[in-house]
Amino acid sequence: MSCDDLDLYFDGELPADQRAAFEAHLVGCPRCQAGLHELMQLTIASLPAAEAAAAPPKVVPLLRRRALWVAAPLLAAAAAAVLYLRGPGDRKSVV
Amino acid sequence: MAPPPVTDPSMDAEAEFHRCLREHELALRTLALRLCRSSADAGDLVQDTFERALRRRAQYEPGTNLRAWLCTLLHHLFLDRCRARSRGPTHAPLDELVVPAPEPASEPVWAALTRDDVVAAVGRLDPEFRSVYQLHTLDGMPYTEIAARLGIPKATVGTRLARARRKLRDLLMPARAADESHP
Repeated sequence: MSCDDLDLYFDGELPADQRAAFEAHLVGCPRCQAGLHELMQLTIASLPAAEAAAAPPKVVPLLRRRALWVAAPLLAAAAAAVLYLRGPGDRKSVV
Repeated sequence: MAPPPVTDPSMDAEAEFHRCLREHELALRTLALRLCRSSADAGDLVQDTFERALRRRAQYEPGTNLRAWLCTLLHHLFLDRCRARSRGPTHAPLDELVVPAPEPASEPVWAALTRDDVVAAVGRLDPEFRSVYQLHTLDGMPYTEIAARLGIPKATVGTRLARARRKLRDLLMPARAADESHP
């Protein structure tokens, strides 16, 4: 990959394997890092301003965000186990 | 008569800073999605950007372009992630893997730009470049869709987009353009 691929990378026009290859190039190329920063600034400056919302942004620490991903399947599994152990005798018939 | 409620000015300032961050959340998310190509990763990147902004709030110069400052923070965080990924899996703790990015300092030219400046510059583009730039940047269309919409080859979309950006840089940063033309 080379510096010439920066625009295609930023525009999402590179396939996944080439994206990864370009990122490996990017981390060692100050010119592409500066170019990416410029593309980002130009793009974000072009986007319209959102309406100011009353609520502040909800900042969730990274560890807690990761914990949610881990906890959700565990809770689902625990709920399924409880239902299984209670067995069909505890369930009320809906018919 | 009850005394007026006592308000902490620093709390007011913090609430105002939170409100200002919120104004740019959608734009940052759009940008992060372009970089990450995954909604979950983009959400994490924006959250990390807000965390860093709150920690380094003292470095932000009031009155300058907050969006540009946040964009610089996001840029550094994204490069940190690329560095960590390029090293591949390892058993070392994550904290040891991520090399802290240099202190973010938004380029003065971006810090001083307003959206009106950009809108005016986009308006000065030739129509064939302006339409490609708007379809891609504002509507998020990929090259193939723009090509189909405008009836032009896909390669031409990339060429026009690159030329539109170059022209915008020249319009928005004339001093730098002059430097580049007279090295």
